Amino acid sequence: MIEGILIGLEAAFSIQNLLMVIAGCLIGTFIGMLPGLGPMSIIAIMIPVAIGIGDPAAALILLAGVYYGAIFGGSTSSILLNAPGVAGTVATSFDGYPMARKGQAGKALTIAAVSSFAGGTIGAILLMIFAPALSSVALLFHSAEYFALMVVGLSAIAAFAGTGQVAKALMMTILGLILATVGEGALYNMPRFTMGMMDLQSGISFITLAMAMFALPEALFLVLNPARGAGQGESGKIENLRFSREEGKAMVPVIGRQSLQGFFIGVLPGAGATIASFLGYAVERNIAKGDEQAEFGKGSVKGLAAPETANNAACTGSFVPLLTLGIPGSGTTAILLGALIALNVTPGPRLMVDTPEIFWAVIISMFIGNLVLLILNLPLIPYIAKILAIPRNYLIPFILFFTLMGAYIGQNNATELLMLVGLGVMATIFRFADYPLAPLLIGFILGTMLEDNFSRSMQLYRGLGFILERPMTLGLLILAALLVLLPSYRARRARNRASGVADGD
Amino acid sequence: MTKTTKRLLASAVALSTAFMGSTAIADGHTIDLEGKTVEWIIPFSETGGSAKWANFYAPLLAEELPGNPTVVVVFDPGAGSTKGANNFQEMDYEDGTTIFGSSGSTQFPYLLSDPRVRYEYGDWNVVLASGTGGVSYLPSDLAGTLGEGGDASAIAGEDFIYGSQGATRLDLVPLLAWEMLGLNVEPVFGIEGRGDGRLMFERGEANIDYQTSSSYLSGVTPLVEAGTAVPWFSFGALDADGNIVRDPTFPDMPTFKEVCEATDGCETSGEAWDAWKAFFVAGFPAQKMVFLPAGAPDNAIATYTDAFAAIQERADFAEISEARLGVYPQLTGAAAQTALESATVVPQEAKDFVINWLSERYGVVLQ
Repeated sequence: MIEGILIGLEAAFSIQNLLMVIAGCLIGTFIGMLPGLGPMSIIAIMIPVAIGIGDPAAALILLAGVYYGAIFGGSTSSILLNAPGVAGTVATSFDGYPMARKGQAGKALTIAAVSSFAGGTIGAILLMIFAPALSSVALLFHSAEYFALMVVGLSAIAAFAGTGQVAKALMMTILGLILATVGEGALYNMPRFTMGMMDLQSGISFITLAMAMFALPEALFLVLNPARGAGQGESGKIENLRFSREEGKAMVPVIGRQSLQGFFIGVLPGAGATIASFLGYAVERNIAKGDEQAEFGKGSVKGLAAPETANNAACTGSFVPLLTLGIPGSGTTAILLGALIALNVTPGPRLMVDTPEIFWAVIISMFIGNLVLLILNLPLIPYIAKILAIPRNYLIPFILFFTLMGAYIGQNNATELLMLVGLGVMATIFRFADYPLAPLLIGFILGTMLEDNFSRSMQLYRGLGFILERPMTLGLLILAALLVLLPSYRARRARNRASGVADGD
Repeated sequence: MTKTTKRLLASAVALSTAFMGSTAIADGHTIDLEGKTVEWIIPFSETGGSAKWANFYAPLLAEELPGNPTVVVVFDPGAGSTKGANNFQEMDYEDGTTIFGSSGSTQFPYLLSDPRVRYEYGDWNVVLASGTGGVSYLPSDLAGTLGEGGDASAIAGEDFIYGSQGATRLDLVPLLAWEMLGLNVEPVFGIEGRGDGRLMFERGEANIDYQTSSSYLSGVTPLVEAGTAVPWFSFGALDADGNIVRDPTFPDMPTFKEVCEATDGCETSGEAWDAWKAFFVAGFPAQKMVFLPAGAPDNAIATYTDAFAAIQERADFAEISEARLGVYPQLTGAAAQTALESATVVPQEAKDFVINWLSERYGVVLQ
């Protein structure tokens, strides 16, 4: 491990990668701040740039920087405008906005920045400990287990989909799997579902699909609903950035608990920064006593520190399944996975052994990134916050330009533009109908691996025998079934309970 | 820069080029590409091995071509590179500003009479042939039972499993080699890259594998050092006369030809051998080639041949190319022509042999 860390230090401190961290964090912070543009959209737009760099380590460092930069930056608009830039910082506005309304906007921003920094840094330390441990047992995972693991990854989407969304999430996952079958299959090297079109022979381009799902609909939504993303009001000037010693003391245990809890929630496939922040907020409110509990929602220091620590730790935690098993825990990490595959790097158990410079450089870059973000957010925040005043009508052409350019440059092919627009319209309709889009992308990315590993297992065991012959496969498949069935069971029980006696709260 | 110095520089470049490769110039002059942009078409996406290869050569080529044109790499991916090759076939020679980089994936469908192929290698003009090599390896227990000179007779009864990308890909070369040695190898298809195949070997899901030279050096050498894998044979390399010789990267390893000679029942002549050799050459020693379009005049061919030859005469070429290309001959001129011919001018019997073998053994019919 020491050797790995040294390799990582060397790679992460190269001029190119330092620039990548700084650029990623800057872009992430700016975009994260803008209400209405989530990390997924901006990462989707950034993919052609990252792939253009050609160096997988640098590309991942850049995109990871954008990711946690966006989570960091999202808190600013949550606090100042009560308009969260990203879903992961919604819980931040619960106490951050009231605090800002009291004229303590500066203090709120500082608390958010410090908690985010602590959560991100502790998360990165945990990542350093847990990722290699998971990697060391990775050789036990044969094709059959990989197949089962992909099934778990897909069913986890259903488990963590919002209430009443399970069926929709599953449908979108299956649609993603269907889209993944277009093009040459690895089994027979024969074109499938290409309708005779040459351009579909190598399948639907991941970049095109990602941008059609997450960048175009955002731009269209901003056009259709100009009020979207506008804040609920100004919250006064940012003046005093300091918090008191007592407040600092109150934060320490919260940060300790929430960085651990947030990290492990992030590790779970399907759960990410959003769930971690809400859960972190709820847990801290429950264990707080008397006066402190009453303070929650009215500008509590703990209530602000909890979600900010948790979402950043979760963001780092979601890199564990990505880097060690090659399965994405969230829509954002799914995009990162797709970008890595496009760069000929297969994230998975071998990543640490085959390309330690990528694995460790990314982890080390997270420490640098968190430091960059702290510096960026503490002294400079009053100036950066001015970006919130940028009118939407400048933003929309910017998104459209980069989306269309990116899709074209990737393939040098005008057909991609038609596909982008077609898929983008489809995605917009899905969004109007309130169908989640991340499951579609995850299904698309996992689809190929699912199929390859399934067909390999079928060949090795001459049929479905591998499910019974390999205990770990069976166990994982049972887990996958539970993940799908439990939420609907819980939902039914909740309905029954609601029709009887209400539980309160 | 003033006009005079520019002209002086240009003539100095032209002069030095003329000195470096004067032997290859047929009619005594080269084409001048000053102020022009050379488009190097790669029929793959910007992330593959061909892109890396072209991106390595492009700036060096710009330095060596007379007039120092801008060289840009243009990607035209699709249909496993046959789309870009078909497009290139449609182009006529204009002023020497279009070149095409083909790869094993372009050559195999051509040899297998894939119906998507509408291009003809015989029409094009080769100016560079870049190669690689391959190594087949075994688990140490099985390798221990091999006979003298890699004789495969002792392991002929074993059941081998091999993680394969597909019988019509580069995997055709090792699959046919093992079959010629009398091995019973069952390929498991559905592998996206050779790295996946090595992973299956490491996990014990597969018990035979091959890797191209650079992947062997980085991925299998640690396994060999740990005692879990033992190299068996290299596919070999091609000398200037088109004979298979030991791979310069692995001089201590027998070639497939030597192992075949040591094994009863494996013949180094006849249609199976001819077929294997043709596909081996197309897939490895002449894997990547640079072409000028049909109708290119001799002076244009000579200009590019000289430029690629001059790149290899750079004092730092060995140093800068080793990490990115491996230590393999980068053939130009007559040697490139020989490599192209052994890779694409294949007797119809050899082609038919492989096409039949694919359909009988694996049920693969290209239509």
